[in-house]
This record gives sequence, structure tokens and C-alpha cells, in this order.
Amino acid sequence: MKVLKKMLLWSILLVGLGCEETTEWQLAPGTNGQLVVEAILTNENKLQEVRLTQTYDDLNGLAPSITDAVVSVEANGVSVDFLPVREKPGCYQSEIPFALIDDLEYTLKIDWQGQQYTARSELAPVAPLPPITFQHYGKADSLAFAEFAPIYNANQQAMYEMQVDWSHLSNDPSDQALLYFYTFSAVDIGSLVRPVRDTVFFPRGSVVIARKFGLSDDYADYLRALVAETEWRGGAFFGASASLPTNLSEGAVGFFSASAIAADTLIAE
Amino acid sequence: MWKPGIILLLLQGLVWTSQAQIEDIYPPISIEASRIRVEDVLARITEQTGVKFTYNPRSIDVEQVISFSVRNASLEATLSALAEEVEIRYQLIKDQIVLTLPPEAEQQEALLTLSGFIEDQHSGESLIGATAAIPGTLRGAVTNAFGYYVLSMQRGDNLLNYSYVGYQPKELRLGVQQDQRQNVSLQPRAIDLPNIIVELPKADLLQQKDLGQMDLKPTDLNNMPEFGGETGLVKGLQSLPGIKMHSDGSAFFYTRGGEKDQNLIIVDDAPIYNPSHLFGFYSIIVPDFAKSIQVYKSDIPAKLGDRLSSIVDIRTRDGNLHKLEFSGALNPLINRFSLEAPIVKEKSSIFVSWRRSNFEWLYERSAPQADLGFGDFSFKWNYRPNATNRLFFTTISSLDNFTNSASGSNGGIRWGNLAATLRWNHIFGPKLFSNTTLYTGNYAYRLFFEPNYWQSALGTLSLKSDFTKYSSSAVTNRFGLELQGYFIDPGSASADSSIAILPEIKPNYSRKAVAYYQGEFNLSDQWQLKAGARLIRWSNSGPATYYEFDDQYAVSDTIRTGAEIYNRYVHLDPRLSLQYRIDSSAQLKLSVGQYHQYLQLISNATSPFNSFEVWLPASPNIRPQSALQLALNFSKYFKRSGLEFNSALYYKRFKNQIDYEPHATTLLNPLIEGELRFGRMQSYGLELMLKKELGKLSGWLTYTYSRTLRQTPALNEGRTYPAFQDRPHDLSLLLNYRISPRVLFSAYYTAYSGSTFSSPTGFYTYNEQTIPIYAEKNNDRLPTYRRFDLAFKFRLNKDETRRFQHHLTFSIYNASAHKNVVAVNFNKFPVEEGRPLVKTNLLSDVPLSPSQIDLIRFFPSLTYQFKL
Repeated sequence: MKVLKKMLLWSILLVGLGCEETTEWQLAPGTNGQLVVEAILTNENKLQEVRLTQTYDDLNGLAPSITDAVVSVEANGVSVDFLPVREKPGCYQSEIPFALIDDLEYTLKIDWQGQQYTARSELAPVAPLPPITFQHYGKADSLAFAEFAPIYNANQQAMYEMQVDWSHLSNDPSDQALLYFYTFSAVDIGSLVRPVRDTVFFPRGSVVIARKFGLSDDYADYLRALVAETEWRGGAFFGASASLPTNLSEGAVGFFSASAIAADTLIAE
Repeated sequence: MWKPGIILLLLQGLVWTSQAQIEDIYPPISIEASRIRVEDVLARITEQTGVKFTYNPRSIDVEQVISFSVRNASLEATLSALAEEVEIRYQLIKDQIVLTLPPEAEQQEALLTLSGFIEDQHSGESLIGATAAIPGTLRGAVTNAFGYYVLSMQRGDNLLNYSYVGYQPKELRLGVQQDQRQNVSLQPRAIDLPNIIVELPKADLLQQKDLGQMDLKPTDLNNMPEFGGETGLVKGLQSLPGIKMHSDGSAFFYTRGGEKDQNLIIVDDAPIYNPSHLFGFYSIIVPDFAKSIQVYKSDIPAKLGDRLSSIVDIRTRDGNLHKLEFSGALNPLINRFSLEAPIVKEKSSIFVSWRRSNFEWLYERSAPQADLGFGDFSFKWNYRPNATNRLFFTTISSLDNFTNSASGSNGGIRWGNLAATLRWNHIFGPKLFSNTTLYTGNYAYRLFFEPNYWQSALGTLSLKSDFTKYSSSAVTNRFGLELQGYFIDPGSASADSSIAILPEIKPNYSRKAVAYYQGEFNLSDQWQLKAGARLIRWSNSGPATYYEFDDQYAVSDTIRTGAEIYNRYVHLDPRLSLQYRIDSSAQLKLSVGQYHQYLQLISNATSPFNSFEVWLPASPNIRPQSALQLALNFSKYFKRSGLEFNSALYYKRFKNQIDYEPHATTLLNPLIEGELRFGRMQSYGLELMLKKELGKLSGWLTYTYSRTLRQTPALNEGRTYPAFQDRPHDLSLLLNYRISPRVLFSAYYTAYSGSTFSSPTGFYTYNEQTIPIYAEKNNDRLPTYRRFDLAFKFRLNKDETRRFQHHLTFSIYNASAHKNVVAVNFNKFPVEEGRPLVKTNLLSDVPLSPSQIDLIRFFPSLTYQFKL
């Protein structure tokens, strides 16, 4: 009976959870080498950054950096140039520190290989950071993030960037983590029934830099599509795959966003 | 003997006014037989002279036995002698003798009408599709869905033959002087493992078979290898040509390229919107409750409609009118029991079936607060107050419950169906039969964590009257009316307002009125024409709020209506088919039909599990879906081998087909109609089926080649792309082999092309995450699906005549443990012991790897069944 029970339990688990394993898969070749823009300008008065790379063929490929583009951001008739940072290939920093303000339309202009790319965005407001909470994980001295970010809020869409650093506790410079959490004004099956993912845990005393980005509707749509293709893909209820939307012209991918930020630094306890 | 029917047709167009003299150039003929079939006489003439015969087997009764004697006679003399015995005239045309009826024999006298019900002698159950025929003639009739038949015959003594698959045929001699009622009971064959000893209808009644319609017998279902101890309707359907399963563990299926919501399953007319338990692993239709399962893929009768691809018409058993019967099936996962009993002997009976999952013992220790399982209940009552009236009441309810209260508050998911039908059969006269039905079909789904919930619901209430007028032996008219009301909650939610303020999703109401007519005309012994139309008026009624969208799918206007009809569609769907009988064993049918559909399942999921369903009606923003189908069916029965060959060639054009904006939000979205993208679709294919029902070895082999292509202007840059269900090759083989009178071995093998999906053609990095790029929609295909199931069914009692019968069935689903992939992902990293995981720490440099999901590699089950 015990054997039968085990066999049936195993069968039920197979039915309920299925089997997932790594595989080899030959992908069809695409036309890569397109411009990729990562640009989140914020209301912090600082040297703003834009990152330019190219699309690539392989799943674990390295994004080729673009170092020969001419980049600027324009608003209200004023243009600020962004210059390449030699130490960080693909990264362009504004010539001067500046902070984005409300009610202005910002236009990103990129001139690369004879093609002009543009994108527009307006500053999306942000609500204060909610209390960042932790929960015990595994060993008594390990913590993980609790569910501090609601998956749904009709009025306030947001992205949470959490940088965790416990290298000072272990003297291992690789003891760092970067995690993202999201709040959207749409309910998605993928957010309700997620695939299994690794749990990031860290010791008490870790330094956590929390940054909350306010999202415009377009940027929220972009990020929702992004998580649908990354964090949410591979669960029990899945839909058709598709490329992410973009606000960039001329076939470039990525997104140019202007987001207000709420930030905090705390010690995980 | 060579009988080229098409050539005959052409030859019949020639006018021959006299019987030509046949030259005496053939060898002399000698035949001496006191009892010989006409067909054998012709064969012997061919053997001795080399001359071939051409005739219409529906006109010339070559089965009749005669006494015939000629010695060294010329061909002319021999045929002349034959013409004295049999009503024929003969003509020599290009070295062939063409036999036809003499003109006087073709004139028919006024016919009388014999009508009645054909029933099972043991249970009183009416038999659907049983035949009543006059031997030696081509007159025959098939019982309708209520076991009723109408047969035209000549005045005087008539010999009648009643038959049905699996029953002893019965001969009856009747002296008919006026229209007459004759109910007949047939004796089932010896009790045995089902579907082994059967007898096919006589070949000359193959003309009654409606090509384009397929019958899936409940016994066929019961003999198929089981999954988890239960046979399933949907899995049985998936073994038929032209019907493709979604994947393992799914109740969804696709018919001739249509979408998964373009199939309608009706039980005694009531729709079952979600026919599955446990996310699709089990069917809610208990095979024992079904009397007949008819599947329409083309030439759907005008009385049925509202789906573009298929209608699965299930008629339930009435219950034993003579004695009480109790049966059941027990296995470690599911138990089911059925009871049928007379309430008033010969007049009224009931059938009750109850089924419940039995998973508790698997999780009661590890999750004592959980409640996981499903159940269903089926009930049928029938009452025969007199010879002209019959009443039926059917209800089916099902509930799936997967909840847990371990966290202190109860939460989980729950869904269920409730369908009920009240029917009244009335015979106005021998030639006018009516069926009036009041039915309801309801489906509700609820995701909850008390007190918060999300729910969707769909309900139908309908009243319909169907009439069949058997005007003459050549003309049958079917007509009727139907009024329907729909209530749809497309996914509303309620939540503690301190947690979230959710958008308000209001229910909507629609009405439908249908009138239909279909005439069946026997133009000649060879040609049958069916022509009809279905007139549908669809109305959306308020109060309602709906939106208008601009070119960019942004809301351009909000319209609020009062409690009146604010939108209406009217369509006329014509149906036409022409059937040609090539000879006594082969038929050809050409059909064309237009179909409209007014309800759609809104889901952009390609997951096999059915859940989170949202249904929407046709509305100002959703024009009704439509399809035009052209089909050519061919059927041939090989008498010697007992093989039946069926083929179908079809072409379908679909309009207003729903697809979705990439990453569309279909849950809790008041603007959901703005997420829909409309396009066209076309499908075509060739379906082949070889079937054997007789003998120790029975089963079928099917192969389908088909394509389904979509074009949606707003998607894939307007380019054509293969649909998810586009699977060019599909092969199935079902074998039942009776090893001994008590042991049946069944094997089922299927293989088909994998479903399409979009695989990345490149990647980019954003926020340290690897983002896929898709150049083409559905540019890739999952690996070929293969599955081999087997089952052994043992009858435990040696004495097959005992009232108490019990069986043990051992089944293995996917016995070869083939990994049938349902999805491929590119967002996970491998873990040494365990499933691949989604990367959470984006600073981690662990490489990603493609991963594949398969569901059921090997699933054994053991079931004990009994009947007393």
C-alpha cells in the first residue's frame, strides 16, 4: 500500500506540476545588431545616464556596447548632451547634473550610424516607499524580502529596484544582489500563478538600497510585458510570447522613461 | 463485378427507346440452380462470356434468390430468361450489359406509413440510429434522437427487419392496411466485453448514414485506455480525424482548424461550457450516462448552430424501465456509482450517476486544512404518459474545489457547471413528430481568498421547439424555433477596499431568436439533397456601458444605455448538401454551410489548463465570428473484410477571428474589447479513417493532413502566420483485441505535429535582464507529440449470463513515457537537483538555458467496475 501511495503521489505530482528540464533548442536566426536603449531619467539632481547596446543572437550572449553614438535629451528648447563614459562602455552620462521636473516633455535623441532615433517621455510621479519588510528564510540568520510591494494598485504603478549588499559582512565582493519588484494597475495571470524562482536571501545587517520608480502608463505596459517574458514565463498558465513594446522610433528596442524616484537605504533586520 | 456508378449516371442520360438485339457472338451459357442469388447469376454469365454488367444496386435487387436454369443458351436467351424471373430490362452498351427497371416497375403506388419507437428489450431504452427496413427493397428508416422512426410501405403484407449494432435483428411480418404505429423491442446480444460481438447494419442501409457526422459510441469510450481510472469524452473525441487535442491534461480541442471555443458540447440540448475536471485532466461526462455521442464537423444540421467548428451532441440514457440496475467503478483516485430504476414500470424511470474524486488520503497528513477534489452528479427522469407523449428531465452538475484554509482564511479556486433540460416529445400524427425543450446551461468560476474574490459566470436559458414532418418517403422536413437569453459576468471582483480598489466589471445580457428549416429530399435512389437555413437574430440588451475605440485602440467614447436593446445582428446561415450513392457500399457527399458564432472565450493563454475563463458576447465591438465550410466526404464499406473507409476533404474560411494585442490584459479589464484584434483565418485538410467494428480485432486508424493559417492586420505586421492549432500531420490508431471471451486488450497510439509557438530570434539586455525578441509570430514548432496507451480489461465472473458482472481494468497512459512538450522557455537557469528556476538575483552570472515542460510521462491506473 505504501508503495502504491508513493507511486500515486508521484503521479499526481507529475500531473499537477509536470516535469521541466533543460533542453537544447536551435533558434531561428534573426536580424540582430539593432539599437537597444536603456534610459531611465529621474528627478534626482545628478549626472543622468543612458545605456546603449545592440541586440544579439545567443541566449547568454553579451550585449555589444555602442560607443560611437551622439546622444542628447531635449526639453523646453534646452538640450543636454550625453557623453560616452570610457570606463563603462555603452554608458553615456549627461554633461551636467540635472533633475527632471513635472509637466515637461523630454525627448531623447540618438544619432547612430547615420540614423536618427527619438523617444519622448514625461515625468511619472511616485508615491512614498512602503515599509520594506523582511522574512526569515531557511537558516535563522537569513532574511528574504517579504511581500512589501502589492502586485496590483489601480492608481500607482511602480518599479522597485532593491540593491542588497552584504559583502562587508563576508568580505566577499560578490555578495550582492539586485532584485526588481513591480506594482501594476492590471491583474495578470502570470502575476498570480508564477513559475518557481530562486529565493535570494541574505544575512541580517545587509545594506539595502531601495529605489521606487514611478511609472507612466506606457512604461508600465513595457515593464509588464518585460516580466511576462521573464519572471512570469514558464508557470502553469502561460500565453503567447511577443516582443516588448517600445517608445523608440526607427526600430530601436528598449525604453526611454522619465520617472520620479523615492529612495531609502536601510539595514536588513 | 465492376459497377462504375458515375459512368452509369452518364449512360442513364442516354435515351433508349427499345431493347436492342444482342448479337450472338458470345459463348453459350449454362446455369442450373434451384436457389441462386441474382448477383451470382450475373457473375456466372460474366465468367462464361466475359461480358460485364452495370446496374444500380438500389434499383436492381441482386440479393433476391431465384430458381434459374439455362443450358447452352445464347446471351440474349439467357438474359431474356432472367428478365422473366426478375423485373429488369437489359441493353448492350459497348460490351457491357446495362440493367435497368422496366418503366412500369418504377411507378409507385400510394404508400402507407408505419411509425413507432425502437427500444432495448431489457431496459426499455429507446435506441438512437436503429434501422427499420423492408428486405429485398431499398426502403428503410433510421430512428431519430428519441428512437422514433417513420417508414413508408405498400399496402398489404410486408416483412420488416429491425436491427441495431450490438442487438439481435428482428423480423416482423405485418399486414398493413392503413397508417400504423408499431413499437419494437430488440434483444441485446449476449453480454460480453462490450463492442466485440456486433453486427453492422445491412449494406443497403448505408445510404442512411449521414456523411460528415461521426458517432462515438460510449462503448468505444469505455474500451479506450483510461487516464487515471476514468475514460474521457474529450480524449475519445481527440482520437477522431480532424479533431486535435490541445495537449496532455487539457479538455480543449480543435476541430478542422477552428479555435478551442468554436466547439459546443450539448447534453440533451443543454450546453456544457467547461466539460472538464481538474483543469482538464478528467471529463465531466460520465460515459455510462451517454446513450449516443454524435459529432458534427461539417454539414451541421440547421437545427444546431452557434459554433463554427463542431457540435458534440450527447444524448443521455433514460434509465431502465423494467428493473433496477446498480453499477459503479472504484479506483484509488475516483469513485463513481450509477443507479437506474423504474418508477412506474414500463412508464417511468430514472438514471442517477454520482462521482467523486478520492484524493484526500494523498494529502490529509501533509495538508490537513486543504480540500482538493471534484465531483459531479447526473440525473435523468423519463415519463411516458401515453403513446403520443413523452417527458424527460435531465440535469448535470459538477464542482471542482481546490481550497486551503491553512493560513486561517479560506482561499482557492472553485468552478462548476449546472445544466438542466426539460423535454416534451409529442407525436401529432404518424408523420409529424415534435420535441419541445426548456433548458439551461451555466458555468461559474471563482478565485477567492475570503473575503476577496474574482469570479466569472455564463448562463443560458432557452426554449426551443423542433418539428419533423415526414411528408413522404422522399421528403422529410425539419423546422423549429428557439429563444435564448444569456447572462455573462465577464470576470468581476470584490476585494477589501483597504487592500485594493478594483475596477468594476458589469455583467451583460443578450438574447437570441432562431428559426430554421431543413428539407431532406430523396431525388432518386442515388441522389439525396439536404437544403435549409438558419435565421438568427442576436440582440445585446441593457443596461450596459460600452466603449468606442479609435485606430490606436484608445477609448474615444463611452456609451451608456438603458434597459433596452442597443445592438442587433441578423444573419441567415444557409446549409446545403448533396449526397450521391455510388453503389450499395460507397457514397459521396458534397456540403457547404455558413455558420455564425456569438459567444467567445476570451483568453490569450496557450496553456493546456482551462481556467480564468472570460466569455464575451457579440457586441458593437465584437462582430460575430463566421465561417464558410466546403466539404467533400466519401465513404466505402468493404463487405468481405468488414472494413469501413471514410475520407473528407474540406476548406474553411473564417472571418472576425479574435486574436490579442501582445501581452493583453484579459482579467479585470473593463476595456477588454480594446485588447482584441480581429482577423481572418483559413483551414483546409484531408482526413482519412479506416475502421473495423467486427470480429476479435476492432478499432480504427486515422490520418489527417491539415493547415490552419491566420492573418490579423494588427499583428505580425499583417503577415499570415500559422495558428497555434496548425498541426499538419496527425495519426491515430486504436486497436481492441479480444484475447479470450473474458479478456480485452486495447492499445492506442497517436502522433501529431507539435503546436506552433514563437521562439526568440534574438535577445537584448535591459535592467540586467535578458529580453527575448520575436521576429515572427508562431515561427517555431514544439516537438512531435507521441503517445502510446494500453489497457487490459478482465471480466472477473466466469458466467457471462449472471446478473452480477464485474471487471478489472489496468491502464497505462503514455506507456512509453515519451516526453510530450507543452512549452519551451528561455528564461530559466538549470538547477542540479530540481526544476529549472527563474533568475531573481540579476547580478548572478549563472547562464540561462532553454527548458521544456512536459506533463504526463507515465500514468498507470487500476479500476474495478461492477454492475448488478
